[in-house]
Amino acid sequence: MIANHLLTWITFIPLLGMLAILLAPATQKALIRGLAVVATAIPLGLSLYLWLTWGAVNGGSAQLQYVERVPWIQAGNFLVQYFVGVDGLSMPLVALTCLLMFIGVFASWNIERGMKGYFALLLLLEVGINGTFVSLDIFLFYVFWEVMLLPMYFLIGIWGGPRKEYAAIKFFLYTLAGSVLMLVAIVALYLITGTFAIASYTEGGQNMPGLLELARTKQITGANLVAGGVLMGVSFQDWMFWFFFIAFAIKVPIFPFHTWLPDAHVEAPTPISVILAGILLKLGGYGMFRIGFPIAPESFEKFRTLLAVLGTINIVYGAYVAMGQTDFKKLVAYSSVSHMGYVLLGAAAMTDWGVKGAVLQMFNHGTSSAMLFLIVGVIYDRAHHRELNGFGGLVTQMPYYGGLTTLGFFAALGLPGLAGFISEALTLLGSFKTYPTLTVISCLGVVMTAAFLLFAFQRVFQGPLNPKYAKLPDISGREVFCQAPFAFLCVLFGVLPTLILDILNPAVKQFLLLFPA
Amino acid sequence: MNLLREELSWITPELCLTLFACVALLVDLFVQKGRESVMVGFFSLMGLLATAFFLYRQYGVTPPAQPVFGCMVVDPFSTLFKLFAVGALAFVVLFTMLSRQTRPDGYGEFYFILLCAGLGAFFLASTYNLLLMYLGLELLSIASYILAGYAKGNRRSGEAAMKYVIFGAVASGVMLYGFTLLYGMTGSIDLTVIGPKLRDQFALDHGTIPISVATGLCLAGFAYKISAAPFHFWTPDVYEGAPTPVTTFLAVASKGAGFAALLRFLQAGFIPDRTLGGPEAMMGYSDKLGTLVAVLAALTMTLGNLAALGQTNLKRMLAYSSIAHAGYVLMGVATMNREGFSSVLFYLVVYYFMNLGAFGVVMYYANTTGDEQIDDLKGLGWRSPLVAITMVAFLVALVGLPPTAGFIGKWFLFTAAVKKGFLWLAVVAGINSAISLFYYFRVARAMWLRPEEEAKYATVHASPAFAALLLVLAVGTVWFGVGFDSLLRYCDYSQNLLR
Amino acid sequence: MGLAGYLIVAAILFALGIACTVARKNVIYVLMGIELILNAANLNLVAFSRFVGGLDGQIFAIFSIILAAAEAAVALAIVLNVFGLFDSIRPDDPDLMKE
Repeated sequence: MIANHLLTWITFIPLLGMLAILLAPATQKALIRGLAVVATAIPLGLSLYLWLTWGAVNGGSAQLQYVERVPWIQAGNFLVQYFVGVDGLSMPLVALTCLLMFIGVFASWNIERGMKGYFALLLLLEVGINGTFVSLDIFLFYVFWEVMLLPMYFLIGIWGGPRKEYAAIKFFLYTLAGSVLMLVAIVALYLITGTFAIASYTEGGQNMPGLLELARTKQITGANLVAGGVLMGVSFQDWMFWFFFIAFAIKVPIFPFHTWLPDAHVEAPTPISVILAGILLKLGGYGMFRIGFPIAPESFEKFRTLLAVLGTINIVYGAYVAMGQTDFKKLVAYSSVSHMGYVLLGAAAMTDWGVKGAVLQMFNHGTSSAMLFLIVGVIYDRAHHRELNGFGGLVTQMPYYGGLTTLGFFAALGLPGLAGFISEALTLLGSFKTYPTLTVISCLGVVMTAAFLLFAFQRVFQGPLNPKYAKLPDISGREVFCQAPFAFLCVLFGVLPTLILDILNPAVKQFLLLFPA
Repeated sequence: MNLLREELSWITPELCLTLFACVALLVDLFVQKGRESVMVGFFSLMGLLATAFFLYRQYGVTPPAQPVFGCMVVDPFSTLFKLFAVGALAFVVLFTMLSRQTRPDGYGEFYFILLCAGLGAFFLASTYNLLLMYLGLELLSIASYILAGYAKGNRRSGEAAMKYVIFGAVASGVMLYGFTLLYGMTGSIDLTVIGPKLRDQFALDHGTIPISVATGLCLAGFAYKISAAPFHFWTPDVYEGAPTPVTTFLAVASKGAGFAALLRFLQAGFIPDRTLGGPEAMMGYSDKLGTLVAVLAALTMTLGNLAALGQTNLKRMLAYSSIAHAGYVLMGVATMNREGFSSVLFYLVVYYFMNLGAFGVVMYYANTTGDEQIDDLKGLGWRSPLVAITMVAFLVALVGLPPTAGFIGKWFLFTAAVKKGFLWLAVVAGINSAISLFYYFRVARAMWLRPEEEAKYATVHASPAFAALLLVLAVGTVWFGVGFDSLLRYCDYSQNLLR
Repeated sequence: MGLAGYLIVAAILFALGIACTVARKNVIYVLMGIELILNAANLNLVAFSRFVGGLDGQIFAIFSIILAAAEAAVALAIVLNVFGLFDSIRPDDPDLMKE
């Protein structure tokens, strides 16, 4: 029963947990925490099962696995399906979500005020994220996509820092503006094709082509909606491409839509920053790979150089701005902007290596950025500020913390032997074939990233010990427990990248097939 | 005699409502002083329940469209709107029973007038006859004027009533003038006759100017009733000044009835039956009319939203928001086709749930604190979480986000508009939705994002009955966002049978 | 005099009524303007009934006259109430709710 509906369980167990928490009395704090742990641990366990049995289940094929499909809303021609499934593209991200959420619960151990609401919202957020990753129906995808917004707004807005209200509404408005564009594109797609299914499926022995197949076979021209498929001198495909692209670019975030990110990160409480950087940004990238690019393959071909330029700007600009930061968290936030640039650059390159690097970069950034934000959280909890220049010499005072930080920083700056190196190298190698100049410029970003991270490390950990912090306790067991899985994954996929590349390979090949050569 | 009895049986709901309106008036005379609100309200509720029962029995009975006395028609379309009106009235009665804003004395008359207004809405929903349409509109309007000014001695209420009556009387007069022109051009006051006659006139190529003038004047009256631009100026003042239960009635039932009449009017008179193939000129005219409505829709939603941004009073903000929503609904009207009209029905049902809920919260809040300022809501989420959680559900629906009914409603409006070729309108509406987030979430921000310590008011308890009402509405709001297929079929069905 | 004459008179009445209501000097003026509009409509109805066809128009006119009376009664009551509360019958004077 569980194996048949694996994805449904993974997605909706947190919802059950949320309801349980809402019914629990607010005074029973241990009970609420326990429920949150259980409600995130079960999906984590299931997703581990998913990962570990992956090779046995699909044997290296690119087919969608664990597919479930039942009609959800059916009235006349209007058919929305509960259509879910995973492939090599989404499965690692689902697993990452489950892990991050589980860790997120432990990282939230100190939350006292309104903790019932906090954990309920956290679990609702998990439902939204996992639902988005597994959806194969674009209506369902959109519903889950928007379900994420509300908990995120309240999590930042209620439990955030001093400028939380501004940060929360900015995040909400930016994302909503993007989703409205996406909604218009979805409406148009539905009117053209009459289907919401992203992937194809068979119904009563008959092949029902999904949106991606229709796009690949050039059946989405929009000619039946607007005359000639051209609206205001721009082809319909281009409109759709940009609508989707902007919606996802805001989430990634791609320059110039990135300004919400530093605010949201700086104001959000540590666990929320971790989830935001670790997973929410990936949704943008995932959306591009799953829908945004293949839905309009010709427009993608037409504009991909522009996308590569945007990706390069992201890499270099993010790193450049990060160099100028003195707020530890802001620095990490801008490093995220820089790292996510690789995803766009690799995708735009459209080579096997480039795309693989881009997808892998999403996963690796999920682990390394989560670790960085946890590191910031540790010091913020102790010193109650994040001013880089206000520290110094902490390595003698907090040796274990220093060690973990070293690992996290090296993973983020792409040291060989750690995970970040593999994905960045793959991306750059893959894109060099297509865009040599841009790749060279991007390499500048690598150097700058190394510079600001090492510089930050030096300011916090080296030099004379700031006497104010002579009594800081070292990292606690709970904090180590939170960081350990990410450290482990950074090392594991740095040493044995094939463990994950074997999963990505067929999916990436399949992805490239969606584009007519 | 038998014929009379049979035709009378088709208007049982109307008769039932009239009967109970009179009962409410009489009961008031015999009830002990101070208990009028509960007792009379109870009898009104019974009456509404009985009416709903008769309506339910009428729904889906063959023949689908039953003419009554040659001037009314009973079909699923009218039944849907009547059920809509009865439901809204029931909530308004309940709100009134729980409200402390309305006068302590004179409740019998209040319920009587309220039920009469409901009767007006019934006529608007089910008539093809211009005379009856005018009568229904006036019944609804005159009753509403009185209700708006019901809080005697309250200056705001008095001001609201005066503004309402002035605007309303002018608008209905203008509409009446438009009706007379239609009558003059066709020699009939029956829309089922007027429609084909107009078609003939188009065929004879008499030019469209007289028809345009007549239509324009009629539309002005409808636009006033649904508070669409440029006839929306009365809305904020009246909504703010009137007692909250009355505002709820105006925003939900009255507006719904206005849309019902507008749809009937357009459907019967101005939409060529494409299966029969009306004259080309008629089709062109219908499309032009649609474009005009589309422009009005864009104007209405934008004006409503922009004005709502600056509001500090919760009720006034919701008034502007209801203008904006009228704009969204007009998107569906602008399509001038069945699919669009069906999306209008769907959205109105959704609108019913979310707006009743939002106004319910306003009333609860005003009752317990006597305050209607958004900023003074701060910290309320922590003090009375249940009410605040339901309010978030209503706000999310009003913005139009999934998984609430507000999203699904907008989805169908957008689809209908884009399909008709109004892509620009869909984009405008999308931008407007994004803007609306800003002011709706000012309420959520005040309630939840401010810490409990800042709360201006001590714990405010919702009575269990009131909490239950809000919960019902919130569950409806969310339920129709995930399990809306039955409602969708219902609306489609109601619309397909509209002639 | 043919139909056109009646229509012109009605149109003039209508225009005067609108002008009266738009001027908004005094609520009583506004109510009188409304009466003019309604009577323009009534004139139209009766004239069309005579020249175009049917008794519908005359019946309509009778109803409309009755409704106009009812409306006027309610409106005057409301204005009286406002006069008691604000000591003014200028429609722009009560403005408690402007920002």
